[in-house]
Amino acid sequence: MLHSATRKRRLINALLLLLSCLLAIFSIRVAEVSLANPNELSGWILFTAVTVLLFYAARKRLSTLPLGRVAHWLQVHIYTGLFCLFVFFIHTGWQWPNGWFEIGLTVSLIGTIITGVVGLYWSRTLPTALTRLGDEVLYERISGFCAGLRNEAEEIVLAAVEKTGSHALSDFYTRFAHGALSRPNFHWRRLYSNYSPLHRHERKLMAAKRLMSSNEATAAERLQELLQQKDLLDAHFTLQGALKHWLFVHLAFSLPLIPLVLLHIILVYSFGLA
Amino acid sequence: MRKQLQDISFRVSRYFRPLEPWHCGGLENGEQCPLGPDRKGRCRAQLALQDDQGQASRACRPVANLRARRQRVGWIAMIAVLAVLTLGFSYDSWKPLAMPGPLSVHHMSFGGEDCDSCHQAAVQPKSSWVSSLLGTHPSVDDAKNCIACHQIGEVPENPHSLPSDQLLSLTEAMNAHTAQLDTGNRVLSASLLVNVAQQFVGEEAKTPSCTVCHNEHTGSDQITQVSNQQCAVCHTASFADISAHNDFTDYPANRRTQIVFNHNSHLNKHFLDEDSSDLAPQNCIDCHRADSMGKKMEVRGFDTACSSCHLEQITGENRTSAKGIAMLAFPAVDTETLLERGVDVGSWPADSDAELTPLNLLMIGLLNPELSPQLTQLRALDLYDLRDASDAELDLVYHAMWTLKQSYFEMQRGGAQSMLASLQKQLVTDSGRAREVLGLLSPDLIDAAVSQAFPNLAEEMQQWLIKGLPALRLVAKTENEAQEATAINKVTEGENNEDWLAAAAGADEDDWLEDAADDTGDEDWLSEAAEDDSDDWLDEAVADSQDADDDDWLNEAAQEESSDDWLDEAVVDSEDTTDDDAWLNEATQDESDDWLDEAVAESAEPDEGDDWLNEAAGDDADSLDDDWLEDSLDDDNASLFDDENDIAVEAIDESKSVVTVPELLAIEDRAAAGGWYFEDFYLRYRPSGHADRLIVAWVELLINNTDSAMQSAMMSNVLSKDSPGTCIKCHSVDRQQIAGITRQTVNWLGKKASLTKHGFNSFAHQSHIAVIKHANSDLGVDEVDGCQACHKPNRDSDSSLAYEQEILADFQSDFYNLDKQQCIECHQPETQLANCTQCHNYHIGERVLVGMKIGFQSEAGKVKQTFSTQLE
Repeated sequence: MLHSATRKRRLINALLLLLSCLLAIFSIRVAEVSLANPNELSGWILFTAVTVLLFYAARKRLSTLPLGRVAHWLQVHIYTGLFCLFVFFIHTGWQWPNGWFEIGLTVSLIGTIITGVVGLYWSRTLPTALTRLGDEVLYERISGFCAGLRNEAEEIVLAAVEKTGSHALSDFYTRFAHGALSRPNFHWRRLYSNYSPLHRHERKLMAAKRLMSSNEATAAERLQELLQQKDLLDAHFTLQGALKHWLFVHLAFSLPLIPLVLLHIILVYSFGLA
Repeated sequence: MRKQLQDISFRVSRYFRPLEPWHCGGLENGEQCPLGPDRKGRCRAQLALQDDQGQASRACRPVANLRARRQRVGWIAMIAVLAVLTLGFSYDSWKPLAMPGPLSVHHMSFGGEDCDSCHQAAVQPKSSWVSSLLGTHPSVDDAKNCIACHQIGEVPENPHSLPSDQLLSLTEAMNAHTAQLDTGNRVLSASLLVNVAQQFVGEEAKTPSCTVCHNEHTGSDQITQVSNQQCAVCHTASFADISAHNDFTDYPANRRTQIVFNHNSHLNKHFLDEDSSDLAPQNCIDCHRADSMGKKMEVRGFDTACSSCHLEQITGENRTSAKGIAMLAFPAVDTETLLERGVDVGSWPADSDAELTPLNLLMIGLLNPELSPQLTQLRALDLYDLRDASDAELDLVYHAMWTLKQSYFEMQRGGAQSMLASLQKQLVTDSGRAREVLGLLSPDLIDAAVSQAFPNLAEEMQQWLIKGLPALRLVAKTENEAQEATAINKVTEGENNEDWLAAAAGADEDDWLEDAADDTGDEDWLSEAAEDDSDDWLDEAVADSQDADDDDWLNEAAQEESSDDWLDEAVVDSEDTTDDDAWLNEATQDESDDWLDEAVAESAEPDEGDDWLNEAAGDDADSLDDDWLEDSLDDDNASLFDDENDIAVEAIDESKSVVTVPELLAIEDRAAAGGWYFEDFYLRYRPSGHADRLIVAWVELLINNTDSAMQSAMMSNVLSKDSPGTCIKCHSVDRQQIAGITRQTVNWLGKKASLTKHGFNSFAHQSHIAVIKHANSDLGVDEVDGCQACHKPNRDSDSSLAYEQEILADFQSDFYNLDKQQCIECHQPETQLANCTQCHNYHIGERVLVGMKIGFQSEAGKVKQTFSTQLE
């Protein structure tokens, strides 16, 4: 259930976006009807919008200046990005470009907008999923915790082998658990479902426990707890990793947009707005 | 309770600085160094624990933080793109990289890399591209490249390609027209969009760039996109949809038709006539067809639509009067009166009753321009009866007749082309046109006609050329005219610089000849002849001639006491006028036959050398009837044909079989296929059929040269509705005032569609006919009714009255104007058929694609197509 303030904010922002789109399309049509070049106007609108998008990154770096809250800038960034998508399609006539340069420009802009939208979605949904996990762990320390779990598991298995002389637990560890505990694992399916490989490991461990002595079974239970913790770490690794890495793609698309847009303007004006 | 993965307590969990660019590499193993790396990514622990040898005792590789790595990825991506662009545009073949999209099929021939054909930036240094952001709008300059190939109207850069003043006048006319209309059902404010746009229309709209409506590089073949609102923004009388469109007040016809055709009289009268009902067309498309573009309906050609009824009118076949146009005449002249009044115009055909034709007047005017102002007066004179003519008129006749003789003489000697130079000079025409008007006149026919009309023309002209014209010595009938005659005589004497003429002015009739002979001394016979009175010299000349061998046949012929008519005609028909026989020509021309009587009385026995004549006379010696000879010499070539008839008759008798002998047709019927012929001292011309080149040439030659009387007369003759040819009966003449001068144009063709010339309106007849056919096939309505669904005949109109008007638009059509409701039934916005450009053109005038030169060029071993848009 959304907070009423958030809902109100979204409603206002959506109305402003709709109004901007209508204003843009009307002004572009006016330009077309008044025998000006509508693509010229839509292009400059698009350029202005892209420039506004860049302001958000600048605002984050200029934290000391009184330029308003970053949260507000983020709202402007988000809705301006959506506005860009609409104006872009008007600018291109809702057609996919044919030239190599134009395709590059389009891919860059569309990639920026899509990754932005995906990032926006994840930033709205994944934190809730992380909260549901129950634990808090810094993303950068997940690898360290994972190494600790792996070391502890190896000690338990070795101790069990020395104590019982049985290799049932060590075989299970070697075949299944070692891979799961060796490093943090990123599971895409966790981003949109409740996927977890833990159940599969637990089933195999339960099957192996029937062949174990009681000492081994005790060690196996401890190993199962470690696997559960590792599963939790993987969940953090996946969700936090998505939250932190979508920006990589977003930037990889958006930064090349700057030279591409500038060159596009130069080419367009040099070649007669063709 | 499960143990927390991480204790977030600051005492246990070390603070992680995400804004720092580096973090400890041991963090991944849970062995984070408390020092951590510095901002340059160097491990502080490693630096601190270096031993004396400088070897690090502990391996640690600092790892860049996510934030730093993210920035690094962004910059790498941007630098990579910049590198690709720099490399791409520095490479010679950069054009495919910049090409925004494939060209339409219309411009596909330019290829993918021939940007400089349209864009001058392609040949400019790339450093200048940036300056284009601040300079002149490049689309304006690049539009010149469009116009280099596409000739679009008179002023291509203007709206509708029309001159500004014409646009202004059209706008004013449209405003005035709109003001007269009932605007009750009109929505003058087309829409909010248009109203707002009208406020933003800038100066650039006065010369809109091509790219406003034409978008290339879209990959589509449809590069023209014009909305109704774009049309409406400029038009002061705009409307929201087609239902508010003006009623058709002058559409489809805004002027009288080029071909004079009265649908009502044909449909309701001529086609119902029993004689022509089987020739009548069955439906509209028997006479009309869509043009090659399927747009305008054209009139089918004469051969298809008109010839069945009108061909004989042109060739004159069904005329009771003369079937050929009297082009040249050898007129009858009242020489008796002229001689009485002291005017010697030489000999003129006594049997002629021809009158001067306009072309005669033209010939006189061309040869003697001084007479041009008086030709109207000459035309009004009755040359056959000059008894009441004034001295001034006789003077005019005197000069005109000699000029006409000179003209005929030159034509006889030099052919019809002797008039070409004068025609070209006087009527300002090209040599081709001048040749067409006379080129078909055979020299043989001229010679035969002139010889018959003026058998002694050569001698007359010889004398004239040697001595000049015989003196004009007007004899005044009354005292009042005496003074005028004296003045004219003086003027005439002054015109002739020859002394002999001055001396002869007061002498007897033939004194001038005597003096002339004295001057030359060459013509002894002439001297002797001049010494005697009147025609006595001729008698002697004939008497002397009895000894001459050449003239023996004449003695024999005279002995038979036959009529002299055969001799007259024989002499006239003689093609060769030798020097020896010249005296005979003149003698024959003389009305007095006394010389012949004397010659007959003194004649000797028939000479054996003239057997042909003896035999001819011997056949009927008792009563010499020379009719056979007369008949044989009567018609141009009849004698030969008659001989053949005789032979044919004999053959019939011998074989006892029945053979139909072709009847000898009259000369004008023999010229039915077209051409010149000589009849009754007229050189006539019969058109060979429709669009006869000579008739067309005369019409075109004279159509705008009616400033003189002779030309007007010629025009009236050639362009008369009743004249053979009857061009103007069907081909209307448009008159336009250009700079105060009336220019006339004969509409030789009906309304013809032009592939290059475009008006404001465009209607696709062919597609509408298809629709009508489809609809009618269901309704069982024939095609005539299909056409009349739109073109409703106005049975009360009389379109022929329009051709008596000067103003082309002042006319009454045979059909009512179209009803726009019929258009609106289909042309609705939802059918996508309601665009302005569906029925209207933007570019008005000539639209021609020029300047494209396609060639091939060998380049690096490959043959490559080359194109040039340079106008040659």
